[in-house]
Amino acid sequence: MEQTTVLTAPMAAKEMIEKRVEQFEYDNTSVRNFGLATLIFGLVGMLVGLTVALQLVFPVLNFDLPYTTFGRIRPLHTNAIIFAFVGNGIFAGIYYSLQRVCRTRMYSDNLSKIHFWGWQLIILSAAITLPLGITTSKEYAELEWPIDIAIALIWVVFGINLIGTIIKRREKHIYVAAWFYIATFVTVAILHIFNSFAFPVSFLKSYSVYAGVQDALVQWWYGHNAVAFFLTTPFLGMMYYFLPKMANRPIYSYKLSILHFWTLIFLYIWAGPHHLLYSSLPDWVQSLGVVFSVMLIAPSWGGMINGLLTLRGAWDKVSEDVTLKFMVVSLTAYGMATFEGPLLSLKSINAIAHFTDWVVAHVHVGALGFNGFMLFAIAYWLVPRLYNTNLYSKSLASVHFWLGTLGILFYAIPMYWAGFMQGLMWQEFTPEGVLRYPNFLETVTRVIPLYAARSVGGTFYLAGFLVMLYNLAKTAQKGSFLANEKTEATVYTKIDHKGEYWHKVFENRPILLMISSLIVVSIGGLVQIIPTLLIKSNIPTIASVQPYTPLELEGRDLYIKEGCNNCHSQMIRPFRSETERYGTYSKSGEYIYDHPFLWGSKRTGPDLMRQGGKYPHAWHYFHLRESTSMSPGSIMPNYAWLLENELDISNTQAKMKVMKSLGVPYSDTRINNARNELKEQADAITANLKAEKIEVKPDREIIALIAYLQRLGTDVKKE
Amino acid sequence: MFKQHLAGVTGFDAYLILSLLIFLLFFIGIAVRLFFFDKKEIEYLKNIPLDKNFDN
Repeated sequence: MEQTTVLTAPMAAKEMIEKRVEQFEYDNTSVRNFGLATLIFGLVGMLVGLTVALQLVFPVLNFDLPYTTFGRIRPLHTNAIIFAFVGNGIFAGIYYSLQRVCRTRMYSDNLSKIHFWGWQLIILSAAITLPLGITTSKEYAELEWPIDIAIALIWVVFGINLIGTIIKRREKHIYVAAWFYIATFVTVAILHIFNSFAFPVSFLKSYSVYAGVQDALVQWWYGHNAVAFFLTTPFLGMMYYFLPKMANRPIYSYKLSILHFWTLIFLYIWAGPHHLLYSSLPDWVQSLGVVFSVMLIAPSWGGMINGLLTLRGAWDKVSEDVTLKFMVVSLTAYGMATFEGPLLSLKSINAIAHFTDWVVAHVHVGALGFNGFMLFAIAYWLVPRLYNTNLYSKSLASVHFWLGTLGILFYAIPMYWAGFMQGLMWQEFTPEGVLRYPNFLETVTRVIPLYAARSVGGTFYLAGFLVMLYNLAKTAQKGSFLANEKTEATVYTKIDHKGEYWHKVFENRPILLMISSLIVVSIGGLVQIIPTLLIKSNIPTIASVQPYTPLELEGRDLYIKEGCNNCHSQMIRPFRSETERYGTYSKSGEYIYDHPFLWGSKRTGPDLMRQGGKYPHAWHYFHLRESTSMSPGSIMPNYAWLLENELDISNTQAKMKVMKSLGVPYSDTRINNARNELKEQADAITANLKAEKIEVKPDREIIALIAYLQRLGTDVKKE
Repeated sequence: MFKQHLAGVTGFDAYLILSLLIFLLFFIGIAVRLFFFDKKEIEYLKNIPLDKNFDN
């Protein structure tokens, strides 16, 4: 297997250089497997995405089934795209490029297999639990604790395989792509672990250890950096390998790549609070988030410019080579999204854009454009190489390129329009000083045609994807898979006077790099989060804010289960337009018992912070059974099963005990008496409904949800 | 905004200044390091994905 040619030459008196040619094989099987999973889950994720998009136009597509309602399958779409499509895509890209820049096979074939199958099992468990309503409600971290532990374990397997490969490399230097991969591994591990801290109630139910403001800060520190270190750094790493390969020329500036690597990972970690502007988060944390978000444009554009300038003098190739076309649009989309990000973090723009479809458009320019197109470019480049053949059809790839590009435009433009229009409608007052659109629903029905247009964009994009699947399948069919690719590398080893290989010095480097990345990304987290945890004592406590009753607690869990937070916020910003519409603005002291926080990030429906007491019980009963009966034109799904399903109270006391251990002041007496207290409150609601001629049993789920909704935001009114 | 907090939470300006200062020092450190980077090494590093280093 290993052929050695020794050419020793005297360097200095006591030093020798040994030159050997080693033959070995690259593992293409893992790359193919991850690649295949990327394509399969890309199809699934996009189909679910198109379904949720259409549900907003045709609510009948919720099918009146719990498992297919928007609130439950929107997280399925985001998880499928982020962790299944993009996740498998980055693993395929990393496994291919890492072996080549390190000139070695992956560290361990067994770890590669465990990583692959473990990750697919995690995806499978997500696909089962999310439609069942088993969720933590925290965005892009919805999976419950046993799955979280599995993710952590498999991530460590990936990490060992990654670092192990870098350590046993034959190339003395670590190419910049690998730096990005190391930062990805380290940071995602930290983010995932800290954001997932939860106290289990049962096998598939837990409560976040953080509450309210702290939970929100940790969640968006995670959420924003999931974008940074799952959707960005691995892609930049892949860009630094695949773009030079596709264009057959080295990267424009290696120095720039180092500079933007360190600045990017340093700055990104601070930017999370821009997701919480005008919220109850302390002002200084918000300002910090804004400043660092604006600064982020520099390293982001550094990466984009480095990519695009690599093609200088070779733009003629772009018109002929479809992989380069995809790459150029991908980098352009990255540039657009990273220009828009800082803009959106400016308070004045955020005031209009936040909670609207503008953010949805922003995210999709990144996901469809940057992530999607780069994965397509890599797929078109990689599949022919893995199968030792040429691409089946260049013209079909071109068709895909245009369908995809038009798809992105048809998706993004209506969503920008919808976001801008709705954001302004929410803020508009008549000359008399009252809200011009006091009925929230009116602002929704006005954007529905734009939702329809967006679905057309999504359909174009999906159609292009299907064309690619056909093209790649045909390519694979005409070639033969190269499971183990034979190659060789020249290895120079300097032997010093002690007889030690200086190669060892470099062996330490990946660890050094890992530790440096860890320190750099930790600074932001430490400066932001530690003081915020201290704020606990500084949150102005509101005496009238009390823990939820047992029934309300169960109702809140149903709110989480049905994913209500996907469309309804619980955060009234301190604007006149919001306080006029919803009531007093939200204060941090109101959330101290909220494990997890439920502020939401998108208002497809109105804010529910002060929903309590706004309508009678009967209104909620009819509205949940059939939303259009109370709000004609509403696109909210019907929740008729809540009327039928018996409320599961087997864990109520366990839930209160967990809450107590997290600092919620439930007394032991109250916990012991929980079932009686729950029954009493349920009976009172049932009696109230009966007076309105509604017959419903007190032990049904709808009673708990009504109890929770009627409690929302009422505590401060008692003051 | 939220004067109610800020009244109770003082001394956090320092965090803002400190954060920016840490970044500035960090940035200068990398810039200086890059300035003194060996050109030959940069050329070598650039070409790692292209296998040119191993054509000999």
